[in-house]
Amino acid sequence: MKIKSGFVLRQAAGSYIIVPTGNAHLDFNGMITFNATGALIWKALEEGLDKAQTVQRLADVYSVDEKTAEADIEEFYQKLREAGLLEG
Amino acid sequence: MAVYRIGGLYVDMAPEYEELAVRALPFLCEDKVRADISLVLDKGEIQRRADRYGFTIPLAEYQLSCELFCKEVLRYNAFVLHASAALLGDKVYMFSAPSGVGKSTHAAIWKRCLGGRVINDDKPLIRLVDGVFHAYGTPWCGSGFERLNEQGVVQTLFFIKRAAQNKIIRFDSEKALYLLLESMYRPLESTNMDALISTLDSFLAKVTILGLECNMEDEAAAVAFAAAEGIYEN
Repeated sequence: MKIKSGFVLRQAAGSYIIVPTGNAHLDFNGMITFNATGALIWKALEEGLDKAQTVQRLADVYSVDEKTAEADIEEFYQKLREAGLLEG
Repeated sequence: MAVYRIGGLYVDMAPEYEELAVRALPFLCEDKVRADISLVLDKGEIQRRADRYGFTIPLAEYQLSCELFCKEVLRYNAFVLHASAALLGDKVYMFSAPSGVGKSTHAAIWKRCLGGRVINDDKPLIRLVDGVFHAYGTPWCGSGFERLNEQGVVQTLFFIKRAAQNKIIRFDSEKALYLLLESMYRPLESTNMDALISTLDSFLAKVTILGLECNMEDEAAAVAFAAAEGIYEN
């Protein structure tokens, strides 16, 4: 799982938005915002962490069980997939 | 080239058609100054827009000037919001909603019940000046022609939704950010986007943003006003 190139994360007042850079806006006309949990998962994707590693990180940071973390991650991946921000 | 003063900025442009020129008239300025912003209303670009969207040439000129203005103000800690702006005393109350939901209707109820004036009914400018967000009238006022060259401190921004009962909704910052971005011109260049996000970061911290579910009765304005003054309870 990989984020398409040309998209960066920006923060405003504790919330996050994905901003297309360069020519990336040609593929992406929408808008996507998320909270701190989403930002953590996004950063894990940027670092190349796989799903299991991301589950571990989310569970550690927010003291949630792995099942909850995995459900959150799946939901977030789906959000990115629907927005066309993932490749692979 | 004529110079206009809009939102405290000197803007030069040379409108050729009344669609824009008439709306811009209250902003015409006699000062002999160097403009902060120059809006180049290129004839070729106007023609392309007219062809692409099926606009008349005067409407295409109006749309182009608006888009250029939305983009140019970003570097002045400012943004243009799709909203109605009602001035009451020295405070501005703003109502945003997708076209057709009733922001103008609500602004009219507000004016009738509470007094004050509508400074812009479509695209007011919001700008951070000396640490405080102000709203200003602009020439881009849609079909209602409400366009006063006046300003005030932004007190509350409401996102309006039509409902049977009047009710205030509170948003988390993610929802507020989404609604804001959805209601404005979003730049494609990352430097402009970064400027906008930095302005929105302050805006979210300084200005109260509420959801207003409302009908078209006078009570809608009373509920909104009570919420803006912090004396409303659901």
